[in-house]
Amino acid sequence: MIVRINGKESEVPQKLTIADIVRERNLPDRVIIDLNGEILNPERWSSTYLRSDDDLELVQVIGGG
Amino acid sequence: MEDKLIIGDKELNSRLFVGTGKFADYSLIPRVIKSSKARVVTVALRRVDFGTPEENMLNFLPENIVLMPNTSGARNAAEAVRIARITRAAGCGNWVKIEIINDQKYLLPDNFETIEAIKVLAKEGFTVLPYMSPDLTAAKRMAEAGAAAIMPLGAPIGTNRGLKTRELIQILIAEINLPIIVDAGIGRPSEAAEAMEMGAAAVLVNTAIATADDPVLMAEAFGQAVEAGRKAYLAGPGATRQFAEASSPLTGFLRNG
Repeated sequence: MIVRINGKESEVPQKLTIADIVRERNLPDRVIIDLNGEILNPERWSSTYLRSDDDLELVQVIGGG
Repeated sequence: MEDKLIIGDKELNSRLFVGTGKFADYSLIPRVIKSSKARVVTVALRRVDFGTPEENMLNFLPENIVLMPNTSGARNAAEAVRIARITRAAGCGNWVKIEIINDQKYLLPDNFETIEAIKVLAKEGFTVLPYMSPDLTAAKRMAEAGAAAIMPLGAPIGTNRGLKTRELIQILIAEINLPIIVDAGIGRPSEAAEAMEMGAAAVLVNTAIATADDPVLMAEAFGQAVEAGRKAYLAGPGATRQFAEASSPLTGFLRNG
């Protein structure tokens, strides 16, 4: 199925959880997950499955002025 | 008598805010915060770069600082509001620096979109500190919209050119009943001291510290300069004169009369 990840369309398998994505992409700890405009706390990552046309933003805090 | 800076629900005992951008190495940042005694630290939010993931800035910040995420990257009020909501939901606190920029040459902020963003975010309970181009009318609108402070630039971001807008900043200090925090362009501790002597409530410094040969030492200098400038302001500087007035008696010493 197609989902948007960080603004880019990606083909991903069905039955993919947020936790799977975090693991697969080797994301930094304390990454912030914004799924369809809602921030998901880490406790919900293993139980939240991606659905077709989801808009997933993976963001983090970096240096800035 | 204690001279504390109160913004939103926070009582701050340092009038130097530091930015965390442009550092060669994140490990410098906790040392800079310590040597400068800064208590408010700005950070930014960005999409994770899968190719070259960055370390997590939050791991480098001590516990007792006030985090001020900026909305850098936002080109309009809606984007700034979105970024602010994400940072708060992610546990970064309810302070936000509104930074809305559509100009890539001078990085001058969009005062108009900033006013709109303040209206939304102040209603949602954020402590909003807008980065702005010093203009009295815009500052009044920002204050009416619910800003907790006003942050006018001294010179364009990263230029280290000091208080090019000093007269406009002085007008804001005189006319706006909110803390005025000079943000952007300060290049040297003496310029930070000058802003404080003028009556600024605080200054925000990033490039001048991050790009110094010795950022930790420069941060210490900035901390001391901000304290000195504030004390000078509170002490009430003497008048400037056109003609000289002797400091020692003019009567002769080694001759009569």
